[in-house]
Amino acid sequence: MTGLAIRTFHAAYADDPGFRGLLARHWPLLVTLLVAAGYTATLTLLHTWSVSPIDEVVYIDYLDKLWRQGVIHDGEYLGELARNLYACHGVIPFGRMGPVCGTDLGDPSDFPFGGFSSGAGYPPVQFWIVRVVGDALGLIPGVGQLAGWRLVGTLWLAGGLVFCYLISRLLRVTGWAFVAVALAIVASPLGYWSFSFVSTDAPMFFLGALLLWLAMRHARGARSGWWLVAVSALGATFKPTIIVAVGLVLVYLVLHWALAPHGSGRGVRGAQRVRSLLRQLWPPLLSIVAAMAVQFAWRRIQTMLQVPSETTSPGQGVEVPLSLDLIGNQFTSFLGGTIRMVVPEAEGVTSAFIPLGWLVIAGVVGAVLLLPRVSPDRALSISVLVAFIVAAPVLTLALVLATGGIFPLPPRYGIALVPGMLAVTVPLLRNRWAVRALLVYGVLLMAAWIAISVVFARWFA
Amino acid sequence: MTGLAARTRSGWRALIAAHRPLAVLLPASLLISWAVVLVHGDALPPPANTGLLADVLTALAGSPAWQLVWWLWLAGALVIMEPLARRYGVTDLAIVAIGAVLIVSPVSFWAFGWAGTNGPLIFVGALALWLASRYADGRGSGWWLVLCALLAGVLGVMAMLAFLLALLLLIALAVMRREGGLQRVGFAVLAVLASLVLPVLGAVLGLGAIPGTPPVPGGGPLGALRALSRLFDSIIEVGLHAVATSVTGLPNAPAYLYQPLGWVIIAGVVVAFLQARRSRPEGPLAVAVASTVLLAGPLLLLVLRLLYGEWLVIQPAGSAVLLPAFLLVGGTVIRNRASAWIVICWCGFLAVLDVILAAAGTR
Repeated sequence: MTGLAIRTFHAAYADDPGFRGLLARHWPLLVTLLVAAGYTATLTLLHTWSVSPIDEVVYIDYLDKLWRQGVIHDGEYLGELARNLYACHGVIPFGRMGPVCGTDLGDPSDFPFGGFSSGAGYPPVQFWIVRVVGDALGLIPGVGQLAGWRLVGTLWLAGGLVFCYLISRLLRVTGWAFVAVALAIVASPLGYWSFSFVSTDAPMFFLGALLLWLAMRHARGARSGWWLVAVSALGATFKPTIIVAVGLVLVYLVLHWALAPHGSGRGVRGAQRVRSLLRQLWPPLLSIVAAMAVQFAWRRIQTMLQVPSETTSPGQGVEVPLSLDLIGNQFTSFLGGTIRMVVPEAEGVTSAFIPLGWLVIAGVVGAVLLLPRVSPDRALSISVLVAFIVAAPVLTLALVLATGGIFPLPPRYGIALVPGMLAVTVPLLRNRWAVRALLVYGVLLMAAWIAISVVFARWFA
Repeated sequence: MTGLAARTRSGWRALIAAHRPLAVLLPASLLISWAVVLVHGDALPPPANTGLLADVLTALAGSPAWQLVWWLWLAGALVIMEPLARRYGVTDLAIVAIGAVLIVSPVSFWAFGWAGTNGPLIFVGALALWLASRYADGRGSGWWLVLCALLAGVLGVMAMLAFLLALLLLIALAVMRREGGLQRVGFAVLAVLASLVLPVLGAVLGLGAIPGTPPVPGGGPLGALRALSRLFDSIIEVGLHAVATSVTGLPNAPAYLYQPLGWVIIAGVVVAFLQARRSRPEGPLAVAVASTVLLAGPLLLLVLRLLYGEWLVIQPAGSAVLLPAFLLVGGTVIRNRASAWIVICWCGFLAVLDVILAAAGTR
């Protein structure tokens, strides 16, 4: 019935230059944005001062100190606000940590990880954005400063979804399939922790979508490659994990060039092919160089800004020695785990998200198995699969080379690849019942997260 | 005499030409399966057996002769799967790919390396689907399905899943294609019930092992909410997740190397459903398999609750009965030669690993 109403509306107003035309042409995006933004904003407003377990306390500490000291220094302790959050409000779902609320919170060694901040690894760029925009959102009556910062996650999500939609438009597949896959991502554990709390993963989703869209436009000769370089450099000022999206773009552009028809003349096969390859490849190669240069520069600045501390940082306790098993396990980390990983794993809860892992595997692997039958863009299907498998081990090795230490990368570091997963999965949904089932599943997960948020709010009240 | 030899030779050639996937898969399966049997030790126990024959099979499990004979179940499953896959439009190369996955999967490592119930269960999984598909095509009688179900019940209650899938396939055909109707669905319901006759007898007489463990050590009643949660969790414990994430479980065995097989299985089942069309030959099968993924766990749990009076955590090993069906729909989505070759080559690598693990990890 809804489908019929939408088709009728589309037929009547598709050519309308006004708002009704916009609605008729882009209803999948509008529906997705409306539901996604409404859902994440609701979650955010349900949250209390208890923080997410994915380092939110570190980010809040960064935001709190931003205008006073500009950056977090290497070797710096968490500030008063962060210690108060630990002791009086707790970390979801683990509870309060450190000394008893109301007693002396002055000794940093009473807090997790020796009371040290791990925020020094982040350049301040994304925190400027969160602080400026979040403070403005916090002025809305009933919102407040912390919820304002958290609501910026909704904006990163909305921005990412817009570019995911533009990618799907390039592939000429949208409709309810787009809505269903997008909402499944939003309703995932990754969506919950990234978009309803202060998170450094949220902008990676936005930047991953933007980079992929720019690459697809570049491959079609419609946009300058300099945009790719600029966005990659910007992404590197946010978080090193942007490199997985830049890697995806590189593989995509190489494959797009390799699979494209190049004509049959002898001249075409020689110098012209080399020129066309270089034209295709310089932006992603320069993007990688730019991203690495930004990260290298920040490491130097970080070293210069190091401050002496009275105690020694015990680290986060996650470092492990480099081994073949560690690298081997990373090959399978992003594909199965990126959007479904639950924190913490719990009986009865974990099972509910396992089908999200199936969706990612089915989309990413299935798009390649089905080639050439379902192939709006063959290069995209293959490159997304390659990226999901290879990105984590490559990132692991890059971190070993850059920092000398390593830990098993959490699957959420693959968030910048999720727009690629969405792009290859949407064309696979040809069965209306499957689309409906996925929509129902997504809505049920959203309802469950809202209920869980209410429970968390009561527990930590 | 020479003429007879020539005719025989040309007969063999014709046979091989007609069954090229089997010409590759059968020798390969014999080689790998026997290599595993001949080199493995007995330091680790194989998965527990279920059904009325559990004790007998556990006694036989250590006998090398029986272990060698157990390859016949694998060969039987492969022989059935070839015409079945062709009926659903799977290409010959894709048949080799899914057959290779069946041969080297961690489920098969235990099922055909030791003499247990999982080997025949895999065979029953393929046979039930073949009988149901033939019956759906108007060939063969529904009584064969019922008879097969009755006999399969000796392997335990997990055999029911194969006939549940057969039932869902016939329902999907009736709904999506208006083929068959009440009579065929009636026979399939009868087959599901027949598959429960021997397990019920076993439960009443106290024979055979229970295919699960109580969620609370020592047993005891669960509240309504925990029971509901058990039903929900059983969707994951039985079927697709259990099969796709199965590992050999051997110490120091790199489980991540087997994960790509799980990806192929998951992608096959899910994508086949996402793509299912009324007009395609594999459409009803894809819907039936997807429905089985959803319904198998809760139905099995309810049956076990009725039989044993407890909400159990079901052993994942018995889900092997659904492996042929999962692979079959997986075959329908392998649409290019490169993908099929990648799957085959990876399976070749895992075959070597299987033998190494059997030699090094079970002693």
